[in-house]
Amino acid sequence: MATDPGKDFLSQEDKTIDIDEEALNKNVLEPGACSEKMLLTTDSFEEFEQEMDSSFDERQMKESTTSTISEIQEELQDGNNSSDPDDGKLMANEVAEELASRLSETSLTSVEGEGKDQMQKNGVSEEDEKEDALATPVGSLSAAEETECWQNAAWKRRKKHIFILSAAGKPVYSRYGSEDKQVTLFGVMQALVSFVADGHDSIRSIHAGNVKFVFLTKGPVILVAVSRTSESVAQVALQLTYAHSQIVSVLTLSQLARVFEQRRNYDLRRLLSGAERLLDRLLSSLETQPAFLLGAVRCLPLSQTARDAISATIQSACSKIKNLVFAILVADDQLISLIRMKKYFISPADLHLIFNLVSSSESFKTAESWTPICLPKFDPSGYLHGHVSYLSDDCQACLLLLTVDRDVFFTLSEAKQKIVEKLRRCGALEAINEALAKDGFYASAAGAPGVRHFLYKCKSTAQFACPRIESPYILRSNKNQAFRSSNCRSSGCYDTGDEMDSYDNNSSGFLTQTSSSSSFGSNAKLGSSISGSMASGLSGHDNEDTVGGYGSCEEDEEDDGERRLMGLYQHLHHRLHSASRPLKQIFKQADSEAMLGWIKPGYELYVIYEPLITKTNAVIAANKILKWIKEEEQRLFILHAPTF
Amino acid sequence: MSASSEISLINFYVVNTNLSYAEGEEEKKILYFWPPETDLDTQMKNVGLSEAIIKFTETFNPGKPCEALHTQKTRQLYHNPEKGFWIVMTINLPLVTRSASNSYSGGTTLVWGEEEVQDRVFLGVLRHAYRTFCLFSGSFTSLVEKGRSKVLNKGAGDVDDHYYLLRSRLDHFFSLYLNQSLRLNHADLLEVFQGVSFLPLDRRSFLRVRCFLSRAEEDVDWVLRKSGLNADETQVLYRYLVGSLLPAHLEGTELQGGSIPRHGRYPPSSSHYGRFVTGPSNLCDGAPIGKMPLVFVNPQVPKQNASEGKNNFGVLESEKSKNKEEPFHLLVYRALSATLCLLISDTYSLTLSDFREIDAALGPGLTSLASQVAEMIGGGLAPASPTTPSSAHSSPASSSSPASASPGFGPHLPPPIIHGSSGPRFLYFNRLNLAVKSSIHLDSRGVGNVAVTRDVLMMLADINTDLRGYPFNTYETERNDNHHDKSLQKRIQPSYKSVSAEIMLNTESDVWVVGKLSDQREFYVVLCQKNADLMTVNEEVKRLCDSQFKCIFFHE
Repeated sequence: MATDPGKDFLSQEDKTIDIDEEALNKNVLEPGACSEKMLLTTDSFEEFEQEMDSSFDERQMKESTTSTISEIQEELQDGNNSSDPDDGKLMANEVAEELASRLSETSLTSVEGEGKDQMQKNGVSEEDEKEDALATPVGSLSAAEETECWQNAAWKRRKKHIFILSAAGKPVYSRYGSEDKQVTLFGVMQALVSFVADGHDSIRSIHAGNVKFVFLTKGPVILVAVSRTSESVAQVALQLTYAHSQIVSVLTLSQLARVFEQRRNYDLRRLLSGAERLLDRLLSSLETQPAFLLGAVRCLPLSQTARDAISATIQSACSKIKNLVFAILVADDQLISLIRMKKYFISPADLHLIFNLVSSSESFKTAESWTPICLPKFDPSGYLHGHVSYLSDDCQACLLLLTVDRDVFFTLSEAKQKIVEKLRRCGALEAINEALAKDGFYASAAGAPGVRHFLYKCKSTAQFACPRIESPYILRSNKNQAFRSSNCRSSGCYDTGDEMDSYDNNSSGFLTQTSSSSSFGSNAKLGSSISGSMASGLSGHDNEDTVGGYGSCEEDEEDDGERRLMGLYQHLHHRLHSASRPLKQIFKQADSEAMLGWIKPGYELYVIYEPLITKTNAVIAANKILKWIKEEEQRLFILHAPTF
Repeated sequence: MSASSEISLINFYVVNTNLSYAEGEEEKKILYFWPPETDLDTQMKNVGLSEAIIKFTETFNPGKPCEALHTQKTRQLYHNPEKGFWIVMTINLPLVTRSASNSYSGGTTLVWGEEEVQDRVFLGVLRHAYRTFCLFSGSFTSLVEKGRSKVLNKGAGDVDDHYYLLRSRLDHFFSLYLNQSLRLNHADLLEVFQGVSFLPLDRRSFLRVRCFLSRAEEDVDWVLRKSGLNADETQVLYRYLVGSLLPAHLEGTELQGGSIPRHGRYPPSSSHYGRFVTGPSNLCDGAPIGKMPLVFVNPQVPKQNASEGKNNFGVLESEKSKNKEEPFHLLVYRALSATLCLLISDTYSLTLSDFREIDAALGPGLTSLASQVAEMIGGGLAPASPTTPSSAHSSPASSSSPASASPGFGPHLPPPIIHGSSGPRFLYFNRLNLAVKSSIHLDSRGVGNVAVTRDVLMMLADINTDLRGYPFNTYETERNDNHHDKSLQKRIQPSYKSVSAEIMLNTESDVWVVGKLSDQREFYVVLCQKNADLMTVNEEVKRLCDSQFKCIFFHE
């Protein structure tokens, strides 16, 4: 087949590659790279593997010896010459109190009565003991009750179940359905984990058909995923790690350990009430957003001048505030600006948790909040205190000011007012709004024909860029993340009710699809009716039969273009980042698309093409993308890392 | 570190989970356990965990039975070949050194190589172990049936005794098999394929082979019944011959100083070189008839005599459930490096004179055929010409496997473009006729004689997983009738099927590995070319296809 034109093409292509590489060499840095570091850059998978292999105790020891937060506090106090060595400990002792305040902040949107009830139970109080004695012991549920969710076909067919339980087998969280109905199941999972642990081993995963059961033990907490997705075990385990981090972010690791030290049998749900929606949203983001997979952060595309102006404004307004560690401006899960204390970095994983907190808490929109946040990578043992607020009603960017000082709410509030005023004056708010309205860029912007979608990650800055999702991956996806989580859970997310309505409106204008997509709009109701009927004690068999329409709902989920696209990237990522057989390059041509993955020292590039693209054209297109990103790097990435 | 980095067997057991016994007698559901010296308590623990895992996974209706359990240090594989029967194999993961990229640990760390053990490959190993057992003993259920009828005849009362026959057969077979034939450290993608190497022949030689076979059938028709073998059985029989029987035979005869000319011209002597590999070792009067293995196969009577065996393949899989295995004597006859395999019904008792007749009928023909074929190959008669794996095997009643362990007659002719070890290496598999052709594997005995590194070998299996997706053996599911959710099964399967796909990988050590899927055919190429890019590799693969597989269509 080696015809002449083909050869010509080939040599031409060789040239273009050479030129490109030269160009890159001249610039020295790959697109998006900069000499200033803002984010901690670790390969999330490498790190994760190490965590899996080192024993938990070891890690905990390491963590407890170096508390970043007390370090900062000490430093500051040294400067002030009024050292108070007990401060760090004090803080830990008052954790429960803070937690209560935090939950009152974040659970505003859940049902009032329930929220209050739970709040009073916060901390390890004596009341708990009584309650615990009453709690159903593992495995003692009547047969009729336990069959309900187990025999519910729709429940079984869920793409990915997540279960969180304590080492004693107490349910903590279940993604679908009520934990109380699954007690026996939790018991079995705990038994499997502890049985294997008895043999000085640890269970990792079980494989049956296309279903993977992934286990992760994190100290007193066991996390289990039952997944029908194409994700690799390592990828699912990473998601479980994120779920664990989310819990740590609410409770701190030390609190978590202490609670179970005091009582192995403790029902952690009491401390986590209100946090379920954080987990719900996190789990669905994990399946749809490449940020987690890449261990990188996406930036809101902004012109350099606008971004610099914003950073400078925040910097100057906050420079006088002594113990401010991070100032983060975020909109729509994209980073606008990050200013940090010198010496301290934030890890992308922590940023993801912050983004998740912002996006799943409607309450931040209505009022300034003062909330404790634990950043597990930064310091798992203590809380940072965050002043969280949206810039203004007409600009949906959220500003977080994170400090180690718990008494500076009003100082930070003042600073925020100043920042907003300045930003308004210099027109930065409009710039942000414009960028948000524009909603990223199209894949076609790179001018590379045949490309459907791509991900570009700059390794040194842990930032990535990707175009918006277009046809054919848009089919049934919807930007409304909150909707997704609401369809999973009937309890604990009443706050998204409004959005659900808005979604229904959307979907009516959206209806060019088959009839199944119309049922999509009512999924949430269907979902809640199912768990509702489970709660009211109807037999599981009835559900199975009456849920006729549910099958189509599941197919919706399956055919969801966005998840499919993520699946492709996950597949590429899995092969490229294999622990024992890492690759530099992968190209796959299949029925529905062609894809390319490149790992270079400075960057990672993943491209999805039309299925019939030739290899030559695929490589040309990939190089065009790189070139385009280099041209656009000022807009797509944050290239300066300002500090206080 | 002196830690073992080999994969080794921890335990291996066969249980029937459908058997329920009274409290205290649960151990009776364990039909076989290796190592045999394990105390009952440990056995019960292991089996208990397996049962728990099987039950737990069923909760979520996976549509397929549980296949593997990964722990930090071990891997447990499950095979559910017959209703209620589970074969479980636990192996330890090898310790591998991995360079730690994080700064604080530095140097290398020793970790359990989770990715070094590929489920797909070892499930293949397990499946093959079961099939080999079936070849020599019949299926589990048939043994239970036999046990039951014997018990009934004796009039014994204990229900459990049905299983005594199965137990003793399992014990007899696996104690030997696990020690001798389980090559865990050399298992690779071929375990998934379980293919058969075909010897490429030109038209005339092929015709000669067919002609000889037909004549042989006529000549010895007093013992033969015309029927065919199905694909499964052909695979297992082939593996047994090439992997165990023939190498052992060759070594044996060499030790005795017996000289079998392995190569070169056939000397113009009146005698022939035929001899029995199984059966009597010499044909003098009074010589013992010798041992002939009994094999259990499911005879397939072809609808038309002319129908090629390979056409049967597809159909036979579905008919398997009839479970009508019949015992046959496996008579292997060999002249030079050609081996002929006869399956003779168990009901017919062979006498020495029968053997003499067989020998007289087959000897000269097979000897001359072998030398002719050897000549054709040795003479370099267009090795690059039609290399389509023609169906040289699967004649009715007798299955001839001209491919054997002897060099010079081996099917693996080095492709002309290979220069040293850096040239492209390939592996081809056709699911339809089970043909395997490999320049990666230097012999077919599966003892790790390969031309590429272990990593690359594993990558081939990775690619296979990606190309085939799930489920990898579609016909495998049909026997697993204990999974009720048939509708789910049906729904899942079609979406994973892909007609054509191609994957190209570039490893960190700059090796290119390419996998192509074209309907039922799979083609893999390993290329060690420094600084090659996607296009050069693509060209190289095309060239290889053109030279080696001219007649085979690959999707572009």
